[in-house]
Amino acid sequence: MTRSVKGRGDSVSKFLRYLVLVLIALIFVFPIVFMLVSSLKPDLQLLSDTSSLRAFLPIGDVSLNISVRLLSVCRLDGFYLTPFSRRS
Amino acid sequence: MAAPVIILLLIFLIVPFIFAFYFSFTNQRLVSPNPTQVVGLSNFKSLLTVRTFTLSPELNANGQIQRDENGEIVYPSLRSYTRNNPEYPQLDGLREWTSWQSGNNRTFLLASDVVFMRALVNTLLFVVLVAPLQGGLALVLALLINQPLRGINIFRTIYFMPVVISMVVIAILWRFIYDGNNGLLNSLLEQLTFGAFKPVDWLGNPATAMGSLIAMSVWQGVGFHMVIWLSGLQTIPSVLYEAASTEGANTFQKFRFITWPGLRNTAILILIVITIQAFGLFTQVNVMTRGGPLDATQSIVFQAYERGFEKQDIAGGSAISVILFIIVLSISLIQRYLTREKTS
Repeated sequence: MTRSVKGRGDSVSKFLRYLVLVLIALIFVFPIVFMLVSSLKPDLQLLSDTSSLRAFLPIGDVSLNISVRLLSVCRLDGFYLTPFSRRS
Repeated sequence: MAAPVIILLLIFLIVPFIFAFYFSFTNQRLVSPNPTQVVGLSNFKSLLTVRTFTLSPELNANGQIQRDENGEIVYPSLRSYTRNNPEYPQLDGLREWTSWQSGNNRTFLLASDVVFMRALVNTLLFVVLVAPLQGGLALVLALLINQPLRGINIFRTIYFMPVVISMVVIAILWRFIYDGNNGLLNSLLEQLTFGAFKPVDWLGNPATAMGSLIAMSVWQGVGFHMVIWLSGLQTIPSVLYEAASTEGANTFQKFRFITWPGLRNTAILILIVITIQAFGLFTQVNVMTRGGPLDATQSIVFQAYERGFEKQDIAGGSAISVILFIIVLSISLIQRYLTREKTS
């Protein structure tokens, strides 16, 4: 009898512990998710999405265009891969 | 064997520091046609001079205190004392930092470099708030992730995540979050309070700018110190907790009499490390506010950088660096002294 009561108490306390851990994890995760998702959106949509949960969801005009453009502008191959390439 | 280390330390730490120390006594500029001259302590004087000055009210013809149409007491112009007044040579060139009423008189705190004084106060405020806040929160997180739960490593990773992201990236990201119009924080708070919350321009308002920087810095740095606390927690033998449980100690007593004494050395390390890091406040200011609004987020290192490289006044920047070095060194020594092992 006492054993089953104790077991229920344990699982409740376990649930509460996970709840606290998850709530704190949200604080650490939300800006990073926002950053990753925003990197897929065009500027205008990024700013209009912040008023709702859409800020955290990769929906709307989502593409890798910005990252691709960045790579072509920054010439990542030129900066970082030169030591490994045979080009002179 | 130690030669590579010594050479690197010489090139990147010791020689630059000796240069900075020397430049702080000269009028060295980044680019200048004139030869460098040794000017003694004048750089430090022009940074650190602070004086109080009391103005008596203006008296009218009857010898009574003169008041304007709103009933406010009229004072002579402060400027007439601080600008080329031969009777007050010690006040020449000083500016008003702050002022307060003392009876009918008005007392002014004058400083030769008000911006640097604000930077000094802001940095001290930052350190005093960040050190306990970040250390305390890191300890709470460390206690949470020290629980024997399944999947706890996932939470350890998540809490540590901001630490591995560059501070510049974090600062740009949080500029979006703190934005006054479309900021994520404003929308979140508005929705959580069902529209009762009025949007705040977090970084554009002198009252909230420093607090915003502090919150972001703690968010970014807390994971690192959490890991140090965690390593300290795991050195405490579990036998002690088992013994305490048999004796009937509750959770708080276990923390107070086993965990906290066991973490003594970790606590000293964390306190000193956070203090030194917090004195170096620069990236956040440089990326997010550039010292604004109204100098509310000026910091010592940002002033050193701005003077040395943007105003090309290497001597002034060096003097600020030397002042910062002395402050950090003395505070670290005081902390070491206060937290020393008492052998008696």
